[in-house]
Amino acid sequence: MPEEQEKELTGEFILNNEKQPVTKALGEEENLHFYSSLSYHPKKVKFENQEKDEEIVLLVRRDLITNVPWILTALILIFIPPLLFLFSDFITPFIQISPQTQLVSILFYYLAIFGFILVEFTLWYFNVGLVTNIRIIDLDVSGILYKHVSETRLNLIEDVSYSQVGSVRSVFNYGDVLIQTAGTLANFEFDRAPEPARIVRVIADMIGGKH
Amino acid sequence: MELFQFLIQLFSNQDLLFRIILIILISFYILFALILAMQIRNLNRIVNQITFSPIFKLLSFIHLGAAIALLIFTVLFL
Repeated sequence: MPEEQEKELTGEFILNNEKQPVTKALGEEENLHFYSSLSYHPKKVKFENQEKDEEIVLLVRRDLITNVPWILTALILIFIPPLLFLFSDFITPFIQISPQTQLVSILFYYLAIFGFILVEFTLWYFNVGLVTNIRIIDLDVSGILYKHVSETRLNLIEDVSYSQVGSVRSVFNYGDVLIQTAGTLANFEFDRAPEPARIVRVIADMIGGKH
Repeated sequence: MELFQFLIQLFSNQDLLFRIILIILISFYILFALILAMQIRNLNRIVNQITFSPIFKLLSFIHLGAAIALLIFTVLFL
């Protein structure tokens, strides 16, 4: 190495504190659908307190397959009244209510199923993790009365890893992505995220190739 | 004594009892639908998916409207 070049390299190094460029290596801009559980550079998505030059790189929700239990429950609930109607001859002697009241009861029942679907979809849709070129935001919603929003800057991230335990998770390729932050700051977890390996690669790439 | 008579009448008339229970349940349900609609509106402010958020909010308000309409129908027409 020439002497001049060696002199230039000696001394303290200051890590680049500038905002990281948006990584587009793992995917082009995508149109986000309401059922999308993972999107790279999603178009037409905004979030609260978004800075002017802040771009969303990743949008992560729980994998679509995790919705199967509540969808099945809703389908079963939808088919219960027609089944009861088939056995109405056995029930009628015990329950004597007018046809109008029966109609309102059935309407109320289906309205409650609609409410159930709306709540379950809301819980899935808003349990979202956002990775931008500046920070990571984690929005947790569990129940309609509880929401928790946390965020951390990319330069505070120490480590990113994922775990994929169980046959279902392996077959459908989803798992938990753990983002560890410096010191006493809270860690982040993208619960049951699809393609966890790719998410880890994108975040690791953004925090400066620590992995 | 009048209250006692009323209760006997109430329990002997299944239809009336059923309507009263329905009105109470729907009233509570409206409260739930209102909270749900407000939460969906608030959460859509945090994460706004421009193409879908308005539809989502509309669905939650349709849900609330349907619950109110059902209560009005039950009280006025049954």
